[in-house]
Amino acid sequence: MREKKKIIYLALLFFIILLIPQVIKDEYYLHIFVMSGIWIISALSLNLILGYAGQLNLAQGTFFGIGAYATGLLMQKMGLSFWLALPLGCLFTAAIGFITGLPTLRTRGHYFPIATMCLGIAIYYVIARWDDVTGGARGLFGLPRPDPIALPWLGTISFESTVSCYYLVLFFVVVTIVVIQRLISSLAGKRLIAIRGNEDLAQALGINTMRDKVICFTISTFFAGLAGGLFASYMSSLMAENAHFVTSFEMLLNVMIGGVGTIIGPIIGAIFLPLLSEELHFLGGWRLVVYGIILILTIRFLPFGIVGGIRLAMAKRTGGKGF
Amino acid sequence: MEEILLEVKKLTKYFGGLKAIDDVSFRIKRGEIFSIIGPNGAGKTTLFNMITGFLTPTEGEIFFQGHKISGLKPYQIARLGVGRTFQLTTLFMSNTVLENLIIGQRETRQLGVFQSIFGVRKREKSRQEAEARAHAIAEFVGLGNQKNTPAALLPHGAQKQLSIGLALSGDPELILLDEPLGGVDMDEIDAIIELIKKIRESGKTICLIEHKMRVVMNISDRILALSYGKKLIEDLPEVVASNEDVIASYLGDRYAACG
Repeated sequence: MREKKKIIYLALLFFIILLIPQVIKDEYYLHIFVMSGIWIISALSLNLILGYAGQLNLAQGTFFGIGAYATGLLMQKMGLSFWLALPLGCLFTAAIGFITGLPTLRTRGHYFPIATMCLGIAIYYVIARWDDVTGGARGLFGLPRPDPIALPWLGTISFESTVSCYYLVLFFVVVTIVVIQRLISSLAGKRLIAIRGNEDLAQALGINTMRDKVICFTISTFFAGLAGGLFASYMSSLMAENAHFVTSFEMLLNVMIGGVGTIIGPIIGAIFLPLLSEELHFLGGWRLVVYGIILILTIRFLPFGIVGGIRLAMAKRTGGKGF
Repeated sequence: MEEILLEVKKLTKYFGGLKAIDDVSFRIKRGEIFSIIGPNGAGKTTLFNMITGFLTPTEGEIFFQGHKISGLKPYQIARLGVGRTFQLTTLFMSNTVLENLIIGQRETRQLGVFQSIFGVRKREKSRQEAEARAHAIAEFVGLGNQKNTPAALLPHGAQKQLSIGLALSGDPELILLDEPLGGVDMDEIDAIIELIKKIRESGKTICLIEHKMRVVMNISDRILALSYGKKLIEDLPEVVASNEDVIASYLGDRYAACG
């Protein structure tokens, strides 16, 4: 019964989300929604490795950048269509994730965040200095939007307008949510939760923790690459800054403030924070100070983010045990 | 003929210059309760960690059901059928009793990631099987009324019961229990002793590290006594209890001479 109710609510919510561009015609807000969608995918990708497998990956912004540059370069230098460049870009990102995951995931505790932060910075400099390929500090310009696709009955869909990009990104948000939700709700997802809980105990129970961590990391980087690829095509230009570890920290902020280890938390964070960021634009660099204060307050008072706080409040109201 | 389940051959472990285990050999027979005793620092837990692959022996070999397991990784040894608990009660503290026991099931470690995302029938079937077995184990270890309680909120005795349940959850042949009675209240001890006996009756072999001597002497079929990493004796409880070396290592040489 409860499941049925949940599905009805979700269907209703999805319907509203589908209708948004028909109601809100303002280009500026539509642009923010498209960006939110891209941040949702990247926040969910970070949440998979951080929230479920318990590994604090500080290079996720760099994987976002790898996906963005790979997709962008495949389109610009190889002349590939977006529809081919995007999956190849994701696979390339996942391959880099797999190769770099093998050594870094051997570390435990604080060493993994340190190792991934170093990795992120190193790859950032490769992107920022490799002038011949990535355009170096100048970045990449004039990346094409996705080619129009011809669908039976519906005719040809082009992706020049912001509205069409809204639906494109929405489609990939749904794909990301479905794949990650299915993974973590299965027994394989229980293994990730076991690794987060206690890696030694997980091994004593016959779980190949190293293998699961590497697979989880690879999937997680795949989706970071997806977010990056969509970003590249939508923005039509890329800067090395997009692969900077500041991007990693912004993703981390989205996940932490929304609620780590839940599906809905990173989504809320990824919608709320970019909106806030736009509102605080007049502060310039001081924005980051406000971010810092929000993060400290969140960690102090809402260690499991907005979603964790709501759950706790609801449990208190119904006299639950707080879990 | 008695079947040898686990054979430890001339095992030695150095930590830097310290010889934690010194040329120890013993055999565990199928179906028995085999206890390892010795004063603190005798190397009991080190021995457990080598059997379960968390430490690699400096020298010597370990065989389980005829397979050489020394050198394998912990998860490989667990999959061959060796379950264990840890000295400090180790659980998935933020998960419920049932979730803990589901994590330990064979189905959980077997389901492929591809299956978990794109599979339909096998995904559901394996989850149902794992849940059913987790329920059965919760009942077996006496936590039937607390299936949905987070592990962190259980009393200490119940946490110990759950840790034994976890060791059982992968349906192992041999179960290593590292101080299952450590820090447990008097009124909770009996439940755990009964549980250990019940596990043996269900056909499993148990290897026990325990400090409570009266319990060890009562419950064990055979006992291995260690001191400073060396094997003192491996024999029946009454023989071990009256062995002069064992008494000396526990109480000091003076008492042994008097006794």
